[in-house]
Amino acid sequence: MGKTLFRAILLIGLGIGAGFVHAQLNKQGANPVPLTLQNTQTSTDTAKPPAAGDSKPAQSTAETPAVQPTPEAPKPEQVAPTAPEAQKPAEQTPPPQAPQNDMFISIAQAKELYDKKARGQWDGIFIDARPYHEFTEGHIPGSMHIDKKYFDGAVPKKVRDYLPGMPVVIYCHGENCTDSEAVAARLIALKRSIGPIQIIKEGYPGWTKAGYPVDSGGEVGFE
Amino acid sequence: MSKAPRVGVFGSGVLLVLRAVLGGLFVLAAYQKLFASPFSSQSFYEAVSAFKVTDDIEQKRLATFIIPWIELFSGLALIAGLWTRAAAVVINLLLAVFIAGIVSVTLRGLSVDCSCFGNFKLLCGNDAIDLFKGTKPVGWCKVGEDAAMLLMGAALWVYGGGWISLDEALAKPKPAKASPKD
Repeated sequence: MGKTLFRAILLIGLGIGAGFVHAQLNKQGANPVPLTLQNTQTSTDTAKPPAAGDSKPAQSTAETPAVQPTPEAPKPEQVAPTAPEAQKPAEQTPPPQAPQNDMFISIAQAKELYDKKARGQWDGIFIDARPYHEFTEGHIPGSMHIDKKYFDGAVPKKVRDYLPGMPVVIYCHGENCTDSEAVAARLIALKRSIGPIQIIKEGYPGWTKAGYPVDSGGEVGFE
Repeated sequence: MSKAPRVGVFGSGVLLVLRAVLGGLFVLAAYQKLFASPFSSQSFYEAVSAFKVTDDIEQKRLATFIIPWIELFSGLALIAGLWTRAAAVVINLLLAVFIAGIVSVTLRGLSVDCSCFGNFKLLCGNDAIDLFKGTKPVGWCKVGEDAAMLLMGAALWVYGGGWISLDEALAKPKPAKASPKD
């Protein structure tokens, strides 16, 4: 028993050692775990005006045009006010976007993009990051389905064919759901010039609660 | 339990199959968590996070890499039949931890995808298998799946690798009994 126990401890020690080294190497790799969204300013640049005294342009990288402002993206003043701050006097009004998680947009902003897409004024893509069976039960019309499992292999064909250079809006179950962020982080890490990337904070439940149009069944147009 | 009981040819065959299946599953699980895609480790990190055992990012990072490497070494040892009983102990310890974690999240009502085998589903949540179609990837079905592997591991712990193993090949040959004439 003593020999078995010693060998078991040795096996665990080998695993700990290899795992520790791998973890350190991963920090310097292309996709360090955990992936973060901090290397983008996506919707900040599309939905937030520059702060007073901020003369510097947004930092950008060659691989992530997500940081490039797009004229089609909603301006804060264009969207319906959803927070009490919107009713405050202008001089007391803080920047309309939260200082963190700038890529999150409201249902009203998402609806505005949806309407612009319907009018042909915005050529972005809505991405449903929920499991496929939930997608088929109901989704924002025209959405593409990409959940994070799509990335557990080769780069998904849909990502290669349809997303490079495209603005995308991702949604899942809402505020307690992290799948949208997981998909967004993977799209950013792929460095395929996808963006700006925005996430609907209230997700699909917020969309349906607002009574906006939904569709069911499979994807249309992304074969 | 100090020494594995001797088994016959048939028993060794059964142990070989158990080693191949259990070891193979653990090597597969490790591969899927570490190397299957550029985001394999990220997916497992998210699974580790979903269990809500700790909020410390560094601890979760280390678990993300250490668990699969332990699985890999133990799985390879089982397949080769090297240090079979020790590898079975380690695998049973891992399975006990997994079962405890799954029971915990199931009782807490958390929706977790364990990324145990990456995109590959063994039984639970495998839509290709009617019996388990639609089951949650992490739930009581997964507890049963892990318990079955635990039984396999227990058998290997008790009986060792059998005749067809490196353990047997590397065992010191017993000194021949002196003949009465000597």
